[in-house]
Order: sequence, then C-alpha cells, then structure tokens
Amino acid sequence: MATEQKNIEQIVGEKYRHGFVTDIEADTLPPGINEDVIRFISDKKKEPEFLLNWRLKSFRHWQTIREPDWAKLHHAPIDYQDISYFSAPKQAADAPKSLDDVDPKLLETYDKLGIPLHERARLAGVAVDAVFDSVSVATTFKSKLAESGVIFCPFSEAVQEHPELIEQYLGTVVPYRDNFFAALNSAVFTDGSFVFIPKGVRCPMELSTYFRINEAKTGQFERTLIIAEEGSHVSYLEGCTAPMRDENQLHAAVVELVALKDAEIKYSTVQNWYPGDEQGRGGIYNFVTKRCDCRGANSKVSWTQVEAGSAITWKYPSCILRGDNSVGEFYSVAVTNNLQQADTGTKMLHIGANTRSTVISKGISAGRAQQSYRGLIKIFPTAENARNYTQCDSLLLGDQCGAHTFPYMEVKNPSAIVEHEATTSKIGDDQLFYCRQRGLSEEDAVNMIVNGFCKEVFRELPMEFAVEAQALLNVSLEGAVG
Amino acid sequence: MAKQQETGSFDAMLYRQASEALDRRFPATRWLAPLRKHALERLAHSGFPTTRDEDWRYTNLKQVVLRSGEFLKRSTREKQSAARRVAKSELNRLLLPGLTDITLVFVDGVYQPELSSSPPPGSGMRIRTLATVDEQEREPLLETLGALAGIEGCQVTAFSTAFLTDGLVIDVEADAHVPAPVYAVFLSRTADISTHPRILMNLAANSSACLIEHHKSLHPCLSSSITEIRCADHARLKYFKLQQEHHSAFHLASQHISLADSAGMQAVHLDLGSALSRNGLNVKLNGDHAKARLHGLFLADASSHVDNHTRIDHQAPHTRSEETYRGVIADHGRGVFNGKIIVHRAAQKTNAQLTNANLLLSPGAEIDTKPELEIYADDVKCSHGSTVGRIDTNALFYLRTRGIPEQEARRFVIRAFGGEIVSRIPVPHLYRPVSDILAARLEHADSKPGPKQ
Repeated sequence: MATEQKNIEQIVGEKYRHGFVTDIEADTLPPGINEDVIRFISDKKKEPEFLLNWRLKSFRHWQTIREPDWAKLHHAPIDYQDISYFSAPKQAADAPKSLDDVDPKLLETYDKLGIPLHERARLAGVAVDAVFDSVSVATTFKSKLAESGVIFCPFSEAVQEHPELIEQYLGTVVPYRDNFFAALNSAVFTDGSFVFIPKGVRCPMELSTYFRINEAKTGQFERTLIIAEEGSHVSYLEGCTAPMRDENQLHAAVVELVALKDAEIKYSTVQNWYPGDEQGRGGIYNFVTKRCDCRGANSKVSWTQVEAGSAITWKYPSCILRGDNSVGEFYSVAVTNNLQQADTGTKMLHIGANTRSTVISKGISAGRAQQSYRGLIKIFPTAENARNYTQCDSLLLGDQCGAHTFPYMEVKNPSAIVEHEATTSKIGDDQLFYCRQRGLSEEDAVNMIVNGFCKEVFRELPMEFAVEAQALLNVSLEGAVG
Repeated sequence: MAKQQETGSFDAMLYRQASEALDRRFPATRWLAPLRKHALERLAHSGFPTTRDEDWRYTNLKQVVLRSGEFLKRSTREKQSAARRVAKSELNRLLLPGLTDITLVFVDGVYQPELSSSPPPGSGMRIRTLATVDEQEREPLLETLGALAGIEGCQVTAFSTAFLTDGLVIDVEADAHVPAPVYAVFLSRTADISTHPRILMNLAANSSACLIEHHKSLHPCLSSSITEIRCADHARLKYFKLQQEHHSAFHLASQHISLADSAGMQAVHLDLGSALSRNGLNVKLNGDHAKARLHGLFLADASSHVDNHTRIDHQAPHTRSEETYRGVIADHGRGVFNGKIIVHRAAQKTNAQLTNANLLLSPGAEIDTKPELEIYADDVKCSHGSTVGRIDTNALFYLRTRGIPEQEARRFVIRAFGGEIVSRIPVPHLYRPVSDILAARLEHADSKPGPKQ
C-alpha cells in the first residue's frame, strides 16, 4: 500500500502540461452582462434580427431562474457580472482565408500543445475548425467538404450564410428554457461550429474542432449545431485544452445534434482543460448541455467522451430517441484528480418503439477528487420493446477521493428491458501481484490495468483520438506509479 | 414562502389541537407531550416534503396530507373502545399463525393487554409500553425516542412523533437468546383514523432476538410508524415486517437500526397492501465487522403506489451488507425503489452489494428505481444492479411446452419471483402461510389480462 500511497501523491504533484498564455491583443468587452452586452455581441457579429430577439428572450428567461444545486458539486458562487462576455482576436475583421494567413503566434500555440494544425489537417485528412477564444480563425478543407455538399463552418459564418437553417434548428433540441446554463449560453454565445450533412451523404472525413480558452476572465460560450439529414453519416471530434490561469473560468457550452431518418452521428470529445492546481485554485468550470434529438426512424447517435480536465464538470450528453428503432450510445471515461469534481452522465429518453441504448461509463478518481455518475433512463409508455443496458464502473486511487453513482430508471412500458450494473473498487492487490509476478513494473501494471478498465470506451474513439486519450490518461497516471 | 405552498400546507391549527387533545385522552403518556410539541414545531417549520425534494421525487404526499387532518380529528375524538373490543377468534383469523408466545396487539393505536402475551420472566427479555414504563425511565426515554430516527432530518418522522401516544419498549439482556419471535401487531379496525405505531428495541451485547412487525387495517386509514433498534456488540437481530394495509389506506413507515461491533441483522420486508405506502429502512453499520442482510418484496396493483427507500451507512471497517429487493407492478400500480449505500471514509475493507429486480405485468404499470452508491473509501468492493422487465418469455415458453396453460405459467413465474424473498423470512414456519398470502395477492394482481407476449 505504501507504494500506492506514494503514487497518489505523485499524481497530485503532476503539473498541468499545457499551461501557458499566448500573447495576442483581444477586442474584449468589460465584465458584466445586460441587454446592451447582448446587443453588442449580436451587432458585432452582424446577426439577423431573429437571433438577437432569441438571445434577448433567453437572457430575460435566464434572469428569472437560478443555478441548479442538485449536482454533487461544491464551488464558490459564480459572479456572472464579473465575466467578460466577448473577446475576439484583433484580426477578426480580415479573418484568414487559409492556414497560411493565420497568425503565426496561434500556430505556435498549437505546436506547443502538440497538435500541429496543418500537419494534422494534411496528414490525417482531418478538417479543423479551430476556435481561438471566441472567433474561429482557421477553417480548412472547406472546399473538399463543399464538393460533397457538407457545410462545416464557424457558427457565426453559418448565421450569415445559412440563416434559414439556423432559424429552423437552433434551440429545437436544447431550448433556451432548458436549464440555467443553456439559457445563459443562448443569450451570450459567441461562436462555435455548424455542421450540415445533406441527405444521403457520408461525410468524407472526420470533422474536428480544437477549442482553446485564452483571454483571461472571458467565459467561453460555444454553440455547436450539427444537422444530419436523412441517411447521412458524420463523425465529429472535439478536443480542448486551456492555458494556466489563477481565476476560475466559466465555460457553458451547448451542443445540439439533430439526426433525421437513417442518419448517424458520432460525437467524440477529449476534454483536458486546466483542472486547477493542487490546492484547487483556478481551473475551468465546465457546465455543458449536450443533447441529440433522434427525430427520424433508424437514426443513431453515439457520444464518446474522455473527461480529464476542468475543476468542475457538469455534463450530461443525452439522447432523445424519438424515432422508431433509433439507437443511442454513451461511452465515457472520466478522470478526476486533486480537488477536481465531476458530476457527469447521460440521459436516454426512449420515446419511439424498439429504441435501444447503451451506456458505458468508467470513472477514475484520485487525490481528493469527487466524481459522480448521474444518469437517467426513461422509458415512455410509447416505447414498445425498448432496451437499455447501463454499466458504470469506478476505480478509486487513494483513500481521500470519492466515487458516487446515481442512476435513475423510470420505466412506463412493461415490454421494456432495462438493466443497470455498477461496481466500485480499487485496483485489486491480486491483479497487481499477478502483473508484477510476471515481471511488469508497478507503473506498467497500473497503466495496463487502468487502460484495460477504459478499453471498452477507448475502442469507440476514432483512431486519432484514441491515441490522444491514451496519452492523456498516461499523463494523469504517470506519477501515479513508481 | 413558495415551498410552504407546495407542501400541500397542512392545517396547522387542526394539527395542534389534535396533538394537544392527546394529553387529555392519553394521560398515561402525557409525559410525552414535550416530545410531541417539539416534533410538531419541526413539522410546522419544514412542512411535508414535496416532489421537489430529491427523496420524495416520485412520491406525492398531497393526498395523505389532505386527508390527515380529518383522520387525526377522528382518532383524537371520543373513545371508540367498542370498536377495539376484538374477539379472540376474529383476531386469530387476522394474525399470522403459530406466533402466540410473545404477542403484542395494538388495535386502533391502543395497546390491548388482554389480547397480548409477554415474555416469561427469566427469558432475558423485558417488554413495556410507553404508557406503563416506570417513572424514572421516562426522562431517558425522552432522549432515546427519535435519537436514531432523527426528527430534524425527516418530516414524516416528525409527523409520526407529533402524535405519538403509545409504543413498545423492548429490552434484551446481555447474553440472552430469545428463541420465540416478538410478534407486534398493529391493527386498525376503525375507518378514517390515524395511528402512529412505535417500537424501541435494545439488544444488549451478545444477545439475539427476532421481531415481527405486522401492519394491517380493515378500512381506509393512515398509519405512520417508526421502529428504532440498537444492537450492541455481537448482538443478532432478525426482523420481519409485513404490511397488509387496506387498499385505500396510507402507510408511512421507517425503521432505523444501528449495529455495533460484530453485530448482525437479517431483515425481510413485504409490502402487500395500501394505496400509498412509503417505507424507509435505514441501517447504520457503526461497529467493525457489523453485517446486514436485507430482503424486500413490494407489490403495487390497481392504482396503488409503493415506495421503498433503503439506506445503508457503512461507518466502520470490515462491514458487509447485502441487499435484494424485488418489485411486482401490475395494473396501473407504481413502484418506487431507492437503495442508497454510503461508504464513509473510515469504512475500509467494506463489501456492499445491492440488487433490485422488477417485474412489470401490464401496460399502465410504472417503476422508478434508483440504486445509489456514495463511496468515500478506496479499499472497498461495492456493486449494485437493477433490472426492469416483463415475465421472461423463455420461462413461459418452457412451461407451456410442458402443457401448463399460459395464465398458470405466468402465475408460476411470478410466484417464483416473489418466493425467493419469502424464503428468506427468518422464522421458518412462516414460509407456508406467508407464501399463501402472497400467492393470493399475486393472483389477484395478475388476474387482469396482461400484455400480449
């Protein structure tokens, strides 16, 4: 046990690798929120009137509601008037057309992160829409995508070029009344990604966005909207990392996915924002609303997430399985360390007949971290022969951490089969002993066991991400052993 | 305050009058008045829980609160001693057979000494009622009553305590092993009354005893009971609760059991009646190597609502718990199960297991289940599982290939599903009679045509 004790201390000692600040002047709004701020953002982005009205409606609603307090999270109250709601790199006016036009400092930043944008884009065949603070500065492979009719662009650009699609779909999956953070996002969102896959198209490449929070004290309010028309297919990757900051930064993103008949969406996330230091100072507050509406029959959505960063994670990617035979999947690995807190899980709402869902959640808690799985499986009376299988396992490293499981199952149709299983344990002494007896070092043994523990989820990630995720996990556990 | 409104705000005046009337009606337990008063103040302060409270998310007490005033008024009015005079023969028909050694009968909330039999002197067990305890015992009892249940935390506990008139105080001496089960019967024969059964039991070190709690009512009424049991080092407890309230009755009950070093308990809980019932079973494993095994079966049919909350607190190292609850939901019944396991930081080397299986028999049936794990220690093995489904079609097919008609095959499968819990009843000779009661109930529940398989 002594070695393990030491390991945990070393995890705690592991410094955040991606902590640095890029020095670019930003066009930043003073802290505070009111209707003028919203008008300013909307005006700055030259938005059509319907969007401004929607933002204002959201804001007015937001003012009437309170922050949710049911999650197992503790943090100092957030002063929403102390956050700046808009920041954009200076060159926003003449946005770069291609990678060559991008500010070299930005590219340097990506280099430091180990994700050389152009390299990755060219070699891996991935189109990257990088969000640097709030304005998208680089969009690649657009023309190639355009050939197949796929629209993949920054949200603000989509507002200009495809306002009819925005008007039709925005807020139909996550209405602004949905929750406190969704309402806030709806009021002040600055940018994000927009994807439209036309009927019958299989997106020729994986779509990927790298997010990066940069300007101090600016909340990042992303808005992502993906529409997969009938019979289409898309795989979307999202990854993030943030520079070291002392003050807590608020992040309240909203992701809306719409899957029409026979469409399939695969949404993968690797989240590695600054988690705060050993004393829990700093770190990102991450309150995200992600939801997919499987509107058509036989549609399918798959959420895969690796959550390693953030001081606070509040995130429940959900599926509304409205279409008959639609399928929802949720695969998650969450790692919390030091004083990180995560309350995450999923919601599967079975409305259509023969809908199926699978939930695999793996939690690893170390240091003094607290982690919760919170999931809802709801079978509506209309969901004949619905099927759900849920498995959530937690691994505890160290005697100061906690792992909690709160699965809700509400079944209103007798033909449904719902199963839930959960286990919590530490790495077995016998498992460790077995590996060491075969000549593995303790570090290798723990790495192997943890990787095996997460394998079911990593398997679901696209190749590029699987590699990144494994690396991320190893960073967290590097100090953990030996 | 908005919250007060949503609580289906009870008639505070009426409640106070009812509580004060108890002082006059039950002079023998007037010494409980300060406790009642305190509880009522708590209740007035917090109100009844609503579905906005996480613990009461699926169970709405509106109907109960609405009718409670009327029930309280009726039960505190004039003496209805006539109703309470039960013939032995009638009683025998209502009670479980073969439990005559130590029987304690309450009718309409009032203890019936002539129908009861106490343990013989020298058996190591002493049973009194709150009305008959010695004067010097009262002061400490005021402290212990509710100490485990905690009036502060739970509004329903406060409600029950606010109208407490009598109850059982059971003491088992150290090293005493009482083979005969203590059979406590709470029978309501009058319509529209409210009763508040109470049991306080102490098992001293290295003793063992068995408690059977039987709640039965013949008419619509409200019963809110609290049972508190303390097990000292190495004590062994067997506990069986059978709830057979009238199909329009309300039943709000909770049990609070604490176990010291190496103490052990087995509990079986059967919910077969009532329109709305809520049972909270709370076990605190306070001592090293303490062990608890809980089994429960609940049945909801017609439009009844059955809610079972269990909570096991592992507070010491090397503690173990095992829990299995099963639900059978028919017609438009609704079942609720919430099983919480909390492993506190000190409770290393804990083993905890929980399973909850539910059978939905008809299209209008609903189950809301939530097994919870809260774990703050690392060297533990904890798991929980929960399933919801209909009758296994393979099992049905198998039976039908053997020439058993479908309806009967269904009955077999359902009986087997519930039978597994019944077989855990800690008093062997009760298997048969309880199985028969269960079979009759299940047959009734599944008599309406089920969904097409």
